Amino acid sequence: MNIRKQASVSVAVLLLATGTALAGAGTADADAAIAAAEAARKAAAEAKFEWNTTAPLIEEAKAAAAAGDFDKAVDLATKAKFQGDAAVAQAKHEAEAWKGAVIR
Amino acid sequence: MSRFVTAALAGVILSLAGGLLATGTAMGADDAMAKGRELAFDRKKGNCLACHMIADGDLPGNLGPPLIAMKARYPDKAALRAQIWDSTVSNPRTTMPPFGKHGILSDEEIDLVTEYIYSL
Amino acid sequence: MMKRLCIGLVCILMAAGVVSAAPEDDRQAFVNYFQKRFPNVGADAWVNGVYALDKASYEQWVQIEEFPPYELALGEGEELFNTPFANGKTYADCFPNGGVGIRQTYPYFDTGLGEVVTLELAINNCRVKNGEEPLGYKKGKIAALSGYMAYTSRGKVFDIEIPDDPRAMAAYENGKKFYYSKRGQLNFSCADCHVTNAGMQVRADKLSPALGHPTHFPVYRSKWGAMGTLHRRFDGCNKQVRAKPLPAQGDEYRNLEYFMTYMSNGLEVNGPGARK
Repeated sequence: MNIRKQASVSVAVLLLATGTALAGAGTADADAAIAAAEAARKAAAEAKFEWNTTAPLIEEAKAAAAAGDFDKAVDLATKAKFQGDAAVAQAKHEAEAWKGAVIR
Repeated sequence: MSRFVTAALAGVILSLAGGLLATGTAMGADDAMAKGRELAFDRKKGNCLACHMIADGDLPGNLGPPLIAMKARYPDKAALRAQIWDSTVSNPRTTMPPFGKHGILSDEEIDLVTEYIYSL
Repeated sequence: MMKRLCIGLVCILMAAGVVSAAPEDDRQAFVNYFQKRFPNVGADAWVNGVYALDKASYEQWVQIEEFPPYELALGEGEELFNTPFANGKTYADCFPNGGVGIRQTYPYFDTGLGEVVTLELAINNCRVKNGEEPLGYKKGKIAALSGYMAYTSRGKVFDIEIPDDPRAMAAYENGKKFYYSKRGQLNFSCADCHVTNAGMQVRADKLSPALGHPTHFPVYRSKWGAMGTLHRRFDGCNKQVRAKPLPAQGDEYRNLEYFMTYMSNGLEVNGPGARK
């Protein structure tokens, strides 16, 4: 990424952030939050540790975004991303921790 | 940490004020207690009764210890809150779900549940 | 010196031996744990599941078994089993001993395929080999068929083998890992409920002991109002701890069944069963 591109991205992020602060989340915020949630969910699924609460949250976030409620969409997607990340952390933790539970 | 300091300060101020303005603050505390109890009993939220005996709860489970004498068991309320937030810290193989760490309850909900459980 | 002595596979096995006990040691420890914990349960009674731990519900269950709710499914299974495929072959042609009295050897590790084969997988493999569509894996016809095949095997003793093949050992280890790993938002492992807390109450329900779990599957479960396979039950257990279930008859659940059934070696087949 060149400096000019980087600068324009920074400006865009700044504008988004300002926009969010002033007027709540916009469609771009919702899309970004949903994409991040989806990526986290996928990582959990690949680890075979996905929670069954995550995909429904993403669906709800999409529905909220479609209905124009971007604040709600971002809120739900953030929760979904949190879950995806937590499930991946759980998979990593259990990769060793399960051994401590084995009946010997 | 500052949350607890703030909460503690608020608690002191509230209890001081409570002596003077009994009605207003008492209602607030009762409300919080009622909400905490509701969350504790809700099968989709705390669902404490699944595993713990609670004085006025029907058909409690027994995977965990009865929720009695909580102030004696947890002189420090923050320790009780921490146990609800993530009990795997004190016992890595515990069966108790990490309510805060896994987002089963929000921080606000955990505050309310802690208030209620602490009263038992 | 050590290095020169151990070469290739032998070396790997020696290294593996340090971290994982042999399956037979695992099983002995498993059985000892339950017998010590529930000294009043007879060595053969674990096949009765939760009813082995609770006299009142045991008596209710014995009454239910007098007019078993799985009887219809048994009839359906027998008919399916004996009905030839379009090509004229039958299930009997796919299985040792004509498919009769063989439940106790499933699941097994197929060294040709390099994977665990459960009875339900073998049923579908048989169908596909004979040009038929595979059945769904959780309920309906597959449960009727495996239920009937279990019925013809009642009283036989589970004898799951782990062949001398590193892939078989890996399948067993993966099943064991699944069994003991905490999953889902509620952070429960299979063992949390059915080993550590077996016999305890979750509200009004008593948690059944892991030992003997697979012996009575498939089951007629009142909650379902129908028959279901072991993998259907896995599905439900995973949902209860808020984990997304993995596919029925996928690697994970087959390996899990392999481990669980190995733990129940020496117990009798008593499927199909009736459960709450």
